[in-house]
Parts: sequence; C-alpha cells; structure tokens
Amino acid sequence: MSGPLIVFLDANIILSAALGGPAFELLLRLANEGGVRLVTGYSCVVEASRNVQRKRPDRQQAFGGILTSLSIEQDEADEHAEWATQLVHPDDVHVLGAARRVGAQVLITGDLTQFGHLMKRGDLGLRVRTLGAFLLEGPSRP
Amino acid sequence: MKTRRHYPECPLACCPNGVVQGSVLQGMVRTPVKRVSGAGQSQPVASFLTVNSVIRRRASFSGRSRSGSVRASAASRRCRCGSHRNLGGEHLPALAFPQDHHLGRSQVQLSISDSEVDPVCGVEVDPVATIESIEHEGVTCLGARWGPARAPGEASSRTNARADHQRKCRPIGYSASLQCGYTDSMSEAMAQISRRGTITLPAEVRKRLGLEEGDVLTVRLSGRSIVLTPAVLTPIELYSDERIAEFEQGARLTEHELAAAQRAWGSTRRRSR
Repeated sequence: MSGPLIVFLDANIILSAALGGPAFELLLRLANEGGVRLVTGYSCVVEASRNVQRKRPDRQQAFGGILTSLSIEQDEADEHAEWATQLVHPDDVHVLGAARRVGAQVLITGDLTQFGHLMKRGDLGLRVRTLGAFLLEGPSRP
Repeated sequence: MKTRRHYPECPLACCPNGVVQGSVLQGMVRTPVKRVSGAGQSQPVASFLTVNSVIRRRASFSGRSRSGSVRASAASRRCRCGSHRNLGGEHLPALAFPQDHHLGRSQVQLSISDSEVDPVCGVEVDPVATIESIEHEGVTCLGARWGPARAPGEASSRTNARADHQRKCRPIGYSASLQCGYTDSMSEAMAQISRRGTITLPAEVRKRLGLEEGDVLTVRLSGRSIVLTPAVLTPIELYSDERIAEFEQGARLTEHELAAAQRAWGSTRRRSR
C-alpha cells in the first residue's frame, strides 16, 4: 500500500463539511494527517459555493477553510466522463467522471438519490460511499 | 568512362511482399494504394507505391485515384535490383511507407534527384528520392528520404566535396525512413476578427472537434496566444432543505460509530508512522 487514499468529494459533502459536524471534523483531520488526500472537481466547488452563499452565508469562512484542504481538478469531457454517462444521471456525470479521472479510490457523496445504486457495486474501480460508511469502513481499498 | 554500380538485392527488401499496389502512369495514380501485410512479418513495410512508368525528369504531376490523390515531382531512373517481376523499362522501385500511412487517402509529394556522375571517379550515382511531405487525414509528415543510405556521421552538405564523394561511391543500399515531424495542418487555419470582435472557426476545426452551434468555449490567454477550449458545462443544483437533510443523513454517526471510526483510522495512522 503506498500513499494516502485518494478521496473525491461531491459538492454536497463540501457543503455539509462547511456546516460542520464530528464526521466531517474526522475527515478533515485525516486529510491534515496525511491519511487521505481530498480531491474535488471545479464544478463541485462552484455548486457548493453557490449553496453556501444561498443557504448558509454565515458559513462562508468555514467553507473557505475547507477548500484549503482540497485539491481541485478541472472538469473535462473525456473517456472518463463517457464512462460515467452509463452509470449516473447526466447532471452528475462530471462528478463520477472526475473521480475516476483523478484515480480516486473513494467517491464520497450524500446524494443517495443519484448515487445510492452505486454504493453496493464493487466493479467500478472505486467505492461510492456516504461519509458515514466510508469512515466506518476504515482505510480498506478496492 | 561511366560505370554503373549494381545492387545484388532489392534494397528495400520489399520483394517478399513484392506486390504492386498502386502505379503511377503518366502522372496518374491508376489504382488506389492498398495496405499490404506480409505473412509472418510483424513489422513489415506495409504500403507501397510503385512507380513503374517513365516519368519526366523533375516533372510535377498530380492525379486523383478513387480514394485520394497523389502529387509528386520525380525524375526517372533505372531499376537495378532486377527482382521486381512486374517492372520493366525505366521505373522507380517501390517507395515504402510505414504501416500507418495509407497512401490511398494521403497526399504525397516527393522529389527525386537525377542520376549524377561523380566527377572524381566517374561512377554514376543513383538518384535519391525524397518524400517532401505526406499529408494523411490532415496530418502532414515531413522529411522522408529514400535513396542511397548515408553512413552514420557522414556529412550531408553538398559543399563538402570529400564527404560527398565518399557518399556517392559507397556501395550501399537504400534507406527509407519517415522522420515523424508531424505538423497539424489545422494549426495554420486562419480566422479573422470582425468589427464586433467575433471570429468564425474554420469548418474543419469545428468538424474535427465536433463543435456545434451553441457550444461554449473557454478563452484563455497564453502569452501572445489565445487558447480556445471546448467548455464542459455542468448544471449547478440549488439544494432544497429536503436535499440537505438527505445529505446529512449519510454523514450522521452515533457516538459509538464515531469512536469505532476513529479507532479504525487511528490504528492505520499509527501503522503508517
């Protein structure tokens, strides 16, 4: 096993992290200690930012602090996005595609509606998990 | 007195495949050039264009085959290997190209120097065929040389009379190589800025990138260049309270679960240290 786990965060996770909670604190602590490397996509950051502004403008500063723990990747229309089109709703292709593009071992999302059906699959090359499930599983890899 | 140097074998080693796939007759490509793959050969020189008729020296010609066109300027020369079964008279033996160049859909431009007589020894020197360019599906490959092989380190300058003399008199075979200095012909496409600042992307650029009306490009300055990149548009969801509640549900851990998670990750951190 080499290097930290690469963990891709969906936009809703960034929003929830800005709102706070013990699970998110643990996740950020793991990132600061080098246990995981947190990655997200540019559009996820934009989506999270818009929703923080709209719903909880008082959490803007916390949101900015979370961004410092993230690597932000550009969205691209490539073969990974093409692969993702077969698995998720078109509106979420950029999330799954970007996670695969950066080589993430885990995609964390709170969107059970759109990603719930992928959380039991073991053939994707990456695990799709809620934050709670990810933390409870520990650092096992696919 | 002129003497002619003879070569014992086909210098291009194409005779095992020895199939004339295309012929240039009076400047016209009569048959489309096809791909050849020799049985049992993993990396054969795979495509041949055989010029088997008298070609006017230094003449330029162009012709259109069923699947493409070939333009060339060439001089005549005589076969020396004698192993081509279907060649007669003055001709150019096969010009060979790597497998990934299908002449049937390519533009080929070549030039062949005339035979020369070495002023020092009187040996008639074989001509050199140079492929000036091959354009294949919009990509131009430059700089193929076909002719007497040049020894490593040998001077190429014609002004170096000694080296030139050595090159001409050397009993060597042929070299056929494509130096893959690709240039994308699209890079030279032009677009003019209108009074309102709009530009029209050339149709071929749009076609190659699959761009359609309404597509969005990002515009980025890179030094003195403007880089246009097809943008990826992603929808932004504005979350309802119900959706936020759904998101938080997946991150909710009881105290007991949180402690278990901390133990699982904590033990890993200790191991990694």
